[in-house]
Amino acid sequence: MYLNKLSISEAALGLNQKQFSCLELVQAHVEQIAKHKSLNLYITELFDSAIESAKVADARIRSGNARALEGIPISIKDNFCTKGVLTTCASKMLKNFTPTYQSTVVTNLQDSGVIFLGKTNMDEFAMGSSNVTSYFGPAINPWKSTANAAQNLVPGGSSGGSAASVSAFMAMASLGTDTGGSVRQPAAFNGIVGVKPTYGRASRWGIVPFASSLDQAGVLARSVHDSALILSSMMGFDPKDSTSSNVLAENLSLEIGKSVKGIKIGVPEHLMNSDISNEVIELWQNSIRIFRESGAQISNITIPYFEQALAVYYVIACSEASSNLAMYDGVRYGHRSSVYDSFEEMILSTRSEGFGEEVQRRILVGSYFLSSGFIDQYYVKAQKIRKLICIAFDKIFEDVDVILLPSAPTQPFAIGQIADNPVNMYKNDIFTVLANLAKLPALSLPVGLSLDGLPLGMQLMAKMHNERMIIRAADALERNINTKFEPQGY
Amino acid sequence: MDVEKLFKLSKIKIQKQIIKDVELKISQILQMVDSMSLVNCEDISQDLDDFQNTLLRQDEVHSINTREDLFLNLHGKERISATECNYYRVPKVLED
Repeated sequence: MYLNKLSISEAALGLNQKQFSCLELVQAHVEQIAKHKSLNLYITELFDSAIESAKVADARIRSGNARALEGIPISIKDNFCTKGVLTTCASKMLKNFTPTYQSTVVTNLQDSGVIFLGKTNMDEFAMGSSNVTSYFGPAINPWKSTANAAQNLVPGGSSGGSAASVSAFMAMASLGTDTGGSVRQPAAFNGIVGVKPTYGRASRWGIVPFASSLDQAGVLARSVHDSALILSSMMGFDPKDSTSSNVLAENLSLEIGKSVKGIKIGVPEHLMNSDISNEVIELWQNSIRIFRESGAQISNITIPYFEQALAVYYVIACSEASSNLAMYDGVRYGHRSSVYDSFEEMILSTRSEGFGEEVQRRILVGSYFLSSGFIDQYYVKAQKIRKLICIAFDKIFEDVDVILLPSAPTQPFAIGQIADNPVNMYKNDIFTVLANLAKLPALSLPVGLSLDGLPLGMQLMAKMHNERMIIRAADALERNINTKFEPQGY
Repeated sequence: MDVEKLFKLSKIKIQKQIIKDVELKISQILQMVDSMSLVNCEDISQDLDDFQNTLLRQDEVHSINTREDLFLNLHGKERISATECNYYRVPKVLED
């Protein structure tokens, strides 16, 4: 039995029945991480502390004091602050940053008994869809194309290391962040489940900010049930986050196994004409068929402003990023240049040396959107269209319970394949930014393989605070997908 | 578009050799965001985010960073110096 290939519920059962120990479970993951180091998925490994935590977890289980997720080993994206542990955001700017405090969701999970294996690779400051902007080099997708097995593929981004660590059995689940699809798109690229709750349901306190009105913590796991178990433990009101929702915590795993009979599924059929691969459309239609055969009611819907959503997202995200990243001035945080003659030059050199190309580009363009003479044309206009998008979704959810649409327009692509025009990379987020703009919960799950043997994902969205509905619908869809999602040959 | 001005606004050093490339890539992004001009927003108010009420806390201290914690992010000589003096040394902020 490969312990690192178990599901979370299987592992929890095995631990509680003393079939194996937490120490053995953690060691199985440590061995897997060490074996596949070349995938470059972890920036910081926490093997020693994980082994010590496993011994404590074993003692708690022996004494009958096991908590909900006692001894479950997971990874954490490297933009969650972890007290006393490096938090680099995959940037030269923060390569030596050790937080003196800890993110609330990390603490919530720690209090549930999980064990942290390490901090995972990501796009620098979570800006990217391919994990190639990391200062520590690209993370590599464990999946290989049957057409070219020698080619390294991107794991998606920005939570690329997190997604790949779960897919390659180097963690049972991972904490990620999703600003425009950074949990759901890499989940789709790695054949796993990725879920982002409603904006405000998981605290943003202690997450290094990218775009504060869009950022949200999320979960990557190998099944809908596993993602429900982790998400239930990390959500909750946090007085330290002024945008936190004061909504009661829920046990989402109670939704597992329920029927979708009578549930109304909205399908935006007009998006089938957008720039999207035929294989994705076929799997979309197959998912519709499964829901219909399961007793759900399918109806055609229209998502207004879909053509503008990507633009609105990038205007808001870049504007907020340029403001948030102003704090990196060489005085208070992170890297400080050693080459300067004046205070002004110290700031300029620090930021030029500390930020990579994509981060600099987003700061530059964000400064443009916010600059005098252009703010109304770009930032204010984008916020107004965002408002229209929110109103449109409120209207849609008067008639349907769930929206079904793809997670990404294509299968995972080769590292370096999209480099000429940044907009071509941004188009990866075309289906995922909607949920962030409207602050909705959304989940991606794998629904099939492409002709090249690569995973493709489908996305489910529900109205605000209705995480239960997407878990219920996703579980029903997952039960009817007979494909085995396990990467080979990595 | 005045790219050099954007570098100044962003507090990033102007790198002459990449200005053309930066200009090209930013213009590609601006071309994408121009699709927003097709939406009429005349009747939409300017309050930018009115559906989340900001929560306020009591002005009370709940956690305290110790000096040792705060010095975790200093390295080498800076850390030794800070530990000896018990304060941070920052770069000279006020110019002569």
